[in-house]
Amino acid sequence: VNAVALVLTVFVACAVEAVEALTIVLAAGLTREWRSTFQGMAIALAVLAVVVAVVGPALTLFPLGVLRLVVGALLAVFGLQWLRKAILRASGYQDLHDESGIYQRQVTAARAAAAGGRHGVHDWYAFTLSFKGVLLEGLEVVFIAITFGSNQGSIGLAALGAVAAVLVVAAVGVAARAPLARVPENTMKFAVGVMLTSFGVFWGAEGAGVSWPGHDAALLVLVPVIVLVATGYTLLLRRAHAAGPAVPGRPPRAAAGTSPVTSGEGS
Amino acid sequence: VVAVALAGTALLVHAAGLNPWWLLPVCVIAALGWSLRRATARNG
Repeated sequence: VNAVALVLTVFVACAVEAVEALTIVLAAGLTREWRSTFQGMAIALAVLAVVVAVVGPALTLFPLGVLRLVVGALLAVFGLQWLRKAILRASGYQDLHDESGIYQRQVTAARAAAAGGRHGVHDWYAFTLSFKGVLLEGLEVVFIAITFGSNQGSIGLAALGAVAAVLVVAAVGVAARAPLARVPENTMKFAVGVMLTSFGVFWGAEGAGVSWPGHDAALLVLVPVIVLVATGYTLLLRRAHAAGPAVPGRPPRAAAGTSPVTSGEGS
Repeated sequence: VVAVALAGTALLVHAAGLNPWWLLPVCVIAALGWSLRRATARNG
């Protein structure tokens, strides 16, 4: 169960970040120049590979208890942030992530930027745009893959999930030659937030010395509990948002969608 | 909140000999609710 959860969590988290990176790469490549865009992407991937090569083995030097305590805390904090954002978006308090809008803004900025090369790169703007996009989105994925993999003792499985997600998103992106606006990003963010929070709580408490009832099977209870609580928070906030502030004469805001997490996305 | 809950858990395990497996999940759920409440109060 844990191996499946590991691969799925890393796959979905990586897919979310890969979609965001793809939007930036497409904006740079289609409006500026593909060669410099690919150079930026390649350098960013090389930097990420170095981070994995250095941080991955370094983590194995720590005792498992300390590793689980630190990584559990970080994953729980990270997961809570993903979950918070997904709930606020699903309930209408924040706008849903709009890949098409982001793409248009990047395209406008790319068209307006001055042309020119530097350090042997033909188009410096396309290079840096692609480099920053891939590196920043990739670092988040590397963190998740390394921490999940090292805690489960299966860096290989985590890497498999990450590489599969990148390949799937890249293949779909190349086929579509457009940002993947129909990907249900908020649902994916919600799912990853649940998994990061659940695993973070599980490993963090274990690292602090707790013995979970049922051992690993406790995750089968922990994950549904976090899902239920997060869904409950979403429904409560959606109702509050639809009702709007109690201003006399002001009509209530319309509630968006029917699903607690997916309202209005992927359209 | 997560750090304090983990410290409290470790303290209860090692100093009092308890097994407070419930403490961190409860604190995390409460922290999420508190964080959402703050965000929605700010955003209106």
